[in-house]
Amino acid sequence: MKTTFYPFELHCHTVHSDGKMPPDTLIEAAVRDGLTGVALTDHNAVSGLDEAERIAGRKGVVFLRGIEWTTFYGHITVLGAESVVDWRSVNPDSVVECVRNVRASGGIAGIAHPYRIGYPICTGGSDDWGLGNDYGAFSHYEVWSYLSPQKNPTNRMAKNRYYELIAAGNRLACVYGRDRHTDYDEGKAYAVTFVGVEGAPDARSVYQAIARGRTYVSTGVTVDLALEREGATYEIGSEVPCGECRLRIGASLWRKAYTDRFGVSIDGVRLLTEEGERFFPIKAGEREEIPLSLSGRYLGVEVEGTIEGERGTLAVVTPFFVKS
Amino acid sequence: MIVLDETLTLSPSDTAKHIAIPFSLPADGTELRIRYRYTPKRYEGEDAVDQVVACYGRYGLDCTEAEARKELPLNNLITLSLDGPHGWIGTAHRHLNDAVYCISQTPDPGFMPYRPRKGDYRAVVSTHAVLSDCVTVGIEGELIL
Repeated sequence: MKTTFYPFELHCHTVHSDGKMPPDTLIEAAVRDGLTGVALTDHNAVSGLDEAERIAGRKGVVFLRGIEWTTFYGHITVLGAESVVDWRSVNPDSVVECVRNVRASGGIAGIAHPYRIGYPICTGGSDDWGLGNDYGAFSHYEVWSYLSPQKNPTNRMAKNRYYELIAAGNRLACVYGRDRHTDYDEGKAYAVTFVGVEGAPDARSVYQAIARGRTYVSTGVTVDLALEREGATYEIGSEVPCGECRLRIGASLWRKAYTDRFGVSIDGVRLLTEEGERFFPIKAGEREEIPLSLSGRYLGVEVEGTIEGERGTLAVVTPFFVKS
Repeated sequence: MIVLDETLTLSPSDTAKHIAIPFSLPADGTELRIRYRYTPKRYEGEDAVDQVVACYGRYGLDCTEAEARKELPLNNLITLSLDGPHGWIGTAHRHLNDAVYCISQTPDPGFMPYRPRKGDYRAVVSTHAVLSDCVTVGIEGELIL
């Protein structure tokens, strides 16, 4: 069955923690923003999930039950197993076991805004878990956070760190966390996480897709990407044998209301490996077929262009993981 | 019926702790009303700007004094959780430093629907940031029969 990518927001807050909106406003905002689904990840609270899920069901929005473990050492978004672990038990000594318990229960857990400024401005805002390069228990990593993600220097740090972790052998899906607390956007561009599922999306298929790395983060573009090698086709986030292959890629503009509002245009795609980078100019709606010789640990793909008057990265795709 | 009346005095060395305050309900009730407050909220130390600049520096970011002042005020942040005989009832993770939380079948946000029953409970204070030299935390609990 064909994989279709749908836009989601994976990190939101309501009045059930320190957000400024009730659950129904969150769901309405998701519809307005053109999202297929939304996760509610209140800080250390799950009391809003039942109400939000009922409202989402009536509105035809896929609802992801979640919580943000807001600890002294970092924030972790947990989806699909929100009540398995007491957030107060999560610390640097226990975090890996806690995350594994979430995964064993069918949920997923990821690092939120790893380079957000921490104590004393925002205790636990940054990734202070002290895990070195050992992120194998986690399923996802916020490479982008908050609005206008290209303009935030901490997001560049997060993305660079993400590729370091991928090169170290971790299989992490790249995601965006808006960290939404209100229903307005200050006139700034928001990103989305496109999640690729087979068939109609529901919560379980979304968790599984994120766990499999079928994601890319985007501000205003959609990506059509596959890697072909010796007659086999590999999707993003897949493990691919090293050697000769062909990368088929196309990039298009997303919703017109979004791309007109924030001035989105596509310039090309950038391929990233441990050895270096290569840029291929393409325009919106065009497709490119690129012969490659895969080596190293990963092949990263990004779309570049212009948004909000500045040139930058429009999309970051979970890499292909290269197997030697 | 007053079931809890506790005052804590915290210092910066108390940052990053979960401090449990046990109490009991002598009977079933319809509502447990908890008044929770701490003071001061704002950190008034003269080194606040220096702390912000140092914080940015730990993350490899430059920060001018003008940029640091945009991050002010620095705040103490202490949140409240409640556990009952059957486990965690909820957490109020907000920046309010003076609030009343009602735990009942129609609770305040942060807490699950719960009818207070006779038994042992814990109010847990989580000290995300204690910046001031002395932060006073007051917790009062009233059981409505």
